[in-house]
Amino acid sequence: MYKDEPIKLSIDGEEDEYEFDENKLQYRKGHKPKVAARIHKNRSKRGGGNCSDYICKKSIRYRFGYGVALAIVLALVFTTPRTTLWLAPDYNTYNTPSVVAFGTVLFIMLLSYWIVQNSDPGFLTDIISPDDAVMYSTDAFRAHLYKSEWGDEDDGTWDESVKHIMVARSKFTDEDLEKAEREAELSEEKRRNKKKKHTKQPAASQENTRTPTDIEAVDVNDSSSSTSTSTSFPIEDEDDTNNKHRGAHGEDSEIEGLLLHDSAIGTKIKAYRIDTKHPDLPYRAIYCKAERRWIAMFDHYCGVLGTPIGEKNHARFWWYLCIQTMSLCYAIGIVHSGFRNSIFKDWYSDNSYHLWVVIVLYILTVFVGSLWIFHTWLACSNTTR
Amino acid sequence: MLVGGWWWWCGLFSFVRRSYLYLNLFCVFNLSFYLFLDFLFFLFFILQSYEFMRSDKIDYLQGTKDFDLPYSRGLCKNLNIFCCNDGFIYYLRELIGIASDWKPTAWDVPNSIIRNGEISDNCWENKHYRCC
Repeated sequence: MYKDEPIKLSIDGEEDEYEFDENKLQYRKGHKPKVAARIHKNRSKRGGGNCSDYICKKSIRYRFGYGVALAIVLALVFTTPRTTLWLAPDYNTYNTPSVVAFGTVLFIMLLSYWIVQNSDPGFLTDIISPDDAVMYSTDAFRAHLYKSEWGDEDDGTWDESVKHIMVARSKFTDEDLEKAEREAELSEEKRRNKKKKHTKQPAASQENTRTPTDIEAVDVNDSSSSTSTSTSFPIEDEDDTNNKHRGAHGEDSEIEGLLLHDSAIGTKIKAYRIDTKHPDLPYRAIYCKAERRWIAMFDHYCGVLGTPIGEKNHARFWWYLCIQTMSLCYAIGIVHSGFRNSIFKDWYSDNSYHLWVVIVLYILTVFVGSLWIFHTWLACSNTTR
Repeated sequence: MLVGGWWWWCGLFSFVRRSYLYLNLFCVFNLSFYLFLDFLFFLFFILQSYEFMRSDKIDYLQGTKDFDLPYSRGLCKNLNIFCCNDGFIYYLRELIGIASDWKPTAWDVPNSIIRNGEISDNCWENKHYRCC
């Protein structure tokens, strides 16, 4: 089932048509189907299967954007007066050696972009729609926890999202699901133990030092609704009520929050959480929503390059970030050479343009450089983002 | 008489505007702004991440904590995997004439991490001490 067709839902007696918004992955009331269709078309073009040629509409768009950004930065650097790019006495003619050096830096920068952009990040499957891919999601595991509440078969009470999850559940063996259930129970126990630790330790310390008169005083304070005394007894009560609340719903509230969202607009179908566990693929292969394919050691989808970064791609991406930071530092050096060391009265009027250009470049280096450092750490520790 | 004149105030304010004090304040605020941006960027990383700081939310990382690095095989091996499994290396190999098909590394569920042994997997968790 693909969600191009609108569904009819009746909320509080009023029946309305809801359409699927691909950006937010949920049904919305006033969503126009034309926009959704356009987005869907673009997404199918993004997929490496359809866009097998190196030159396609999408890659041209990203390259154009990168070129525009580069041109703006270049214009800023070349228009700063008295830099090493210009010859000394009048600063009217180019200083050719430094211009050539800067040009080679720019060439290396463009080469790094060309090497990474639209490259293969290690695709492991063909294009799979999110609706099919959700069959392998962790929601399927979680569906097992809801089995007692929902039952085995649809008796008319199942929501659209419930159906979705139960279809996902049918793709797994019972052993897998039981294992997942055990793990979920263990994690819940851990959480409970953590909460108990946080609440019980102060309680024990206070009970030893407390006299009966103090407890009476606390009770009086509670009845008079003053918040000055922080006692352990009300906190413990809160913990008990939380457990009761959980027992009534039969589930952890966090997991429930992840799966289903209710709001005033209407029923929202849950967002996809497609983590892993494709039966035929190795671990750490993750479904990329933008490309609609499974990628080995998927790191992230880069919005600047317009390509996902995976195992086959990551080292090149690291070099790309390295070269970007280096060339930005080179540009900062060029702009810094234009500062005039004048007396403090005239300093700002002489160097205001330099100052603003340098600030823009510094902000860019902060972003790109922090990414570069982060990715060196990722490479050294063999983790993905 | 001199204090009340408009030229006196003009001189004072122009001095303040062009002084180093003003510039220093400007730079300090900008630096703090950079730090704030960096912090926001880091937060953005964490919110968008899959494996990083999300050990409890991924199925195959259950039983591990953040910064356990369950797939780490030492610095040299990690860098070897990172660099030599790149597609560009395979392209160069094709050019030389020793072509081979690219295959993804077959990762499995990580082994249980030793926390209470004499030799533990982390340097911050041990039989004798635990820093976090």
